Amino acid sequence: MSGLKGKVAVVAAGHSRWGIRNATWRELAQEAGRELFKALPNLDRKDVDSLFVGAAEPERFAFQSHVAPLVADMLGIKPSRVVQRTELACASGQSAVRSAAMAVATGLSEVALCIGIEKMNLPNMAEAQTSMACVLDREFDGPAGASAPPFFALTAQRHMHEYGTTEEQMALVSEKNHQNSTSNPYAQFQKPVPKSKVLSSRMIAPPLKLFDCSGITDGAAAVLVTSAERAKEFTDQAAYILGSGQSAIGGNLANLASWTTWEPAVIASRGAYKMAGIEPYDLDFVESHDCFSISEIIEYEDLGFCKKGEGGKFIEDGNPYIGAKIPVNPRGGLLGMGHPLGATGISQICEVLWQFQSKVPKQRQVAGAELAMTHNLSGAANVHSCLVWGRSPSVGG
Amino acid sequence: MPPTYTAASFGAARRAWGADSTSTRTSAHDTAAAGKPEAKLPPANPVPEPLPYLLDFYPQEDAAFTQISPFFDALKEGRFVTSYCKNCDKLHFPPRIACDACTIEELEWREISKKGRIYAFTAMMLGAPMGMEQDVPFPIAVVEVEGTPFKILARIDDARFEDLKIGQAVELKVHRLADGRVFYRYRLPTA
Repeated sequence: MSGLKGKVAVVAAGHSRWGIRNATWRELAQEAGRELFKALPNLDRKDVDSLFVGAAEPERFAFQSHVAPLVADMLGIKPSRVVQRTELACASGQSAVRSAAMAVATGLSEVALCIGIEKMNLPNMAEAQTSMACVLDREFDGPAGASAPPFFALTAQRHMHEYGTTEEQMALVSEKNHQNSTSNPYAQFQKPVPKSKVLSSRMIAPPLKLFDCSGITDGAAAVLVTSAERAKEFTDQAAYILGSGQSAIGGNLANLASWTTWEPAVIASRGAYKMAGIEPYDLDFVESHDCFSISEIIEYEDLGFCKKGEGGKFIEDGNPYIGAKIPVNPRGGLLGMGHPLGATGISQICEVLWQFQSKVPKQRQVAGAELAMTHNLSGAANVHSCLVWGRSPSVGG
Repeated sequence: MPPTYTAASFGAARRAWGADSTSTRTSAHDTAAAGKPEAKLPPANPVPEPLPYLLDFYPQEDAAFTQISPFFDALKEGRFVTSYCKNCDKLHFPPRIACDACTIEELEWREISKKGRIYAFTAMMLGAPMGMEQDVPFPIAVVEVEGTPFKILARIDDARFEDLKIGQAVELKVHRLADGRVFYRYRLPTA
């Protein structure tokens, strides 16, 4: 199945500053939208026929439903083909782009704007924590306190128990991604966090400490999606979708495939590689979903960069760094950038485009990058979503 | 019995807590990154159960609201049951009203063991949802339910994180909310 291969391109990107922001949900949307339009001064907004808004919990965080028309209003566009919000928790942003890609590939849309937005720092943070916890099975896992940190802490403990993964190895992931985000002006965290600081930071849910966890972040990011044929009208260097894969197994934690092997990540990534006609090591870099340090370690394994159980050793041996075997999260990852749920997947795609266009600061530029993957997990890692990107629509097999 | 929350009581409790203590403009990450002393934890949440419906994690149990009320009725009597499909010989968790394998609706309630073993455990130390803040830190475990294929998430009561280990035996404990609802937790065996 060739699917989407080579048919759809991202041609421009816009990004708001991320962090604890003096900006409401709709203001974040305007910031990212403004940056996108600045990047395309000749774009006639009337040509934007579709809008996809990635937003995980605007009802909870901004007390706002039916967000897509509100965003259209704020950005001065009047979609005439497709207008919708996409929700897939932490993968809501990638879902927006996946949906836009399907619309463009079928000809339903010609030019689609995708924007991911989340406002998570609220006057009452207890409500925000409560809202984040309803991403898991609220009625049957929620009463046990199943918010994200305990879930990934349990995963980490099992991975340590089964494979000997260490807290030091997890701390290296956090150190690496915080180092990468020092050259990202949009990042919530722009200062280095050495391994020792990760290890001595306060306990959140043992064995996970504060810097093993991504931040609680306000932010937005946007990309413009069009067909491969029309990409040249907008830019000399687009990012082309070459592969796509997605998998979901289990809802309630009792029905997960496994606690230490993310079977949906294996299925989603292999689906994306197959469509693109590539092997994992054909990728020049990966933007993977490091919501917690342990996540990235399991992703090295289940996305196919090392053997099962060797993820900790993989970073200890220096493989996922810029300039090394396979740079993972040159953008700074969720650990360095922060994680505004619906915006993360689109921010990763911004990074891919800017890497291909050589627009990122040289400290985090992956030299000669031709192929990249963006990956998101969502919920209890029971859903994984992958997109493979190429500098050319014909890269790969 | 539905919750008897009133906005007035909730508002009073919030004021007693002090809205400022939760209205943070710096995160724990920022404080730690700046090398500042860490912000003190907010005080234990004095908000009484039940919380407003859309902030309340505990399921509605009444037969007027749900078709799996027998699950909760049994739990109130100290029995742990779940739905079972004779057609597929399949046990479900959480309980369902239709078998996910064959769609049959004529399911039975089958009693399952109250014994289990800890598969993994952690503790909630920061960032507890509303209604749970007063209990921080509290242990959370994945429990392998004896005689079933299920590893379920549950709170471990009457124990500290430091007391637990992988493989340890635990037994079901019925947690009773002030409004009469119940939910399952585990504890170390009493015998």
